[in-house]
Amino acid sequence: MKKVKTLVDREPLGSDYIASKQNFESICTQVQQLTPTWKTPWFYGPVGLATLAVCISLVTVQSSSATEKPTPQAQVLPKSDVPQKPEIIEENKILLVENAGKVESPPIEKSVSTQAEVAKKEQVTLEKEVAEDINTQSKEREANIENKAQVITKRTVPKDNRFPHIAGYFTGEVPVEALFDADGIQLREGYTIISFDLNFYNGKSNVVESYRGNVIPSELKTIIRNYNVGNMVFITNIKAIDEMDRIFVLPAINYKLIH
Amino acid sequence: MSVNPVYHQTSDILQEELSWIRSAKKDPERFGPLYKKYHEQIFRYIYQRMDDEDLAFDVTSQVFIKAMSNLHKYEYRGVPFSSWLYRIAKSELYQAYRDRKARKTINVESMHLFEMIEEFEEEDNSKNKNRLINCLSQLKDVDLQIIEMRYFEKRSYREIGEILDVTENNAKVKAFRAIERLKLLFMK
Repeated sequence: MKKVKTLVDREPLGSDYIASKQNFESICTQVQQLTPTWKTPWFYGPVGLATLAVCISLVTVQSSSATEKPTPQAQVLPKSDVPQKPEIIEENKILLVENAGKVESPPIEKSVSTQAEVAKKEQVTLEKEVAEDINTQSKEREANIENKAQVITKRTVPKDNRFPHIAGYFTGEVPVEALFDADGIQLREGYTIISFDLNFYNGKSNVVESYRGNVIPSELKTIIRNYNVGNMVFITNIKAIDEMDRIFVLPAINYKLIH
Repeated sequence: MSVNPVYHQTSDILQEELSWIRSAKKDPERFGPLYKKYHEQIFRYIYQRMDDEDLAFDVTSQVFIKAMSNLHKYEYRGVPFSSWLYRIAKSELYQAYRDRKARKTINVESMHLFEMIEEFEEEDNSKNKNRLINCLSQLKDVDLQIIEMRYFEKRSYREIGEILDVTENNAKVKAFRAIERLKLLFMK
């Protein structure tokens, strides 16, 4: 049997007859039946609106929760991004943190008031408070210094300082006593150091210890003095928090320890 | 040799066709003008290769359903929309041969057969006509297809090239080789 059938001189069909067999509507119906539901326009109406509503509600809920409790976000503190806070303490005066664990409360930021009297009163009050604080803390500090075998010389820190430091030492050679300064790691006003990593040699190997707060524990003093004098000690991963509860990662401090 | 003039279109007609396609892509209901324009051509192409008229109409409908469903994939390449439809038709035709047990058919007119016999420089009698019909049924699908399009449907090489997705020159070469093979069979 032949695979192909051959028809010779078959009666041709007329164009009118062929045209009469056209049925575009049935074609459209079949196409619609073939089209998946998710491709049809009506699907996108309600489903799209519902999706949009869910998105909007999610965004609203998130933004409201963010307003109630701002989530701290770790970010590197660029030099130019440091907010310029109005200084209420005179230059060369440094606030001292009483102990390592205590978080320093941010100083009250004074906005420019149109009422001169109110501003003047507030300024006087602040000056008094600051003066009292300084007196109290100076006394405590003097007492501490007396107990220390070596007197730590405080360096003058510029008020627009953007780098962390201990007792005014930013880098380079540092006496061991200065490293264990009661004030710990400091930054400009409005920022509190919350944690840091200390890289040092413990007599066996180089170790990296993480600490909360801003003070290097005095327990380490012996180890540091015995094994690290003349060598480098690195304070890295220094995290600070500002008045807005934003967390910043500060540049590392590298010290060469001396007696 | 005379050539079927239906396929040849001016650039204005092609642009008009393109605007129909664009609007049909947005709204399938606007496929109507394209359907009206090409229904007969596609039907004749299919019916030429089938012996069942109803099945040919059915396959033609399937071609347009496929075309409308896949219109978003269509890209204008400066040739008539029909070349895309012919390719769908060819695919649907072969599917009908497989799935619907449709019989492969060659529809020829005696006049075309005698023209071909003359080209072979043989006597145009009924004996040679039957010999040629027999040879046609022995040809490979590819050769038969191109001979049908060129000698029985009188399509231009350009159109054949676009339907087969080859260049015009390639279509010419293919047609020449196909007719040579048919001649060899005929001369045996």
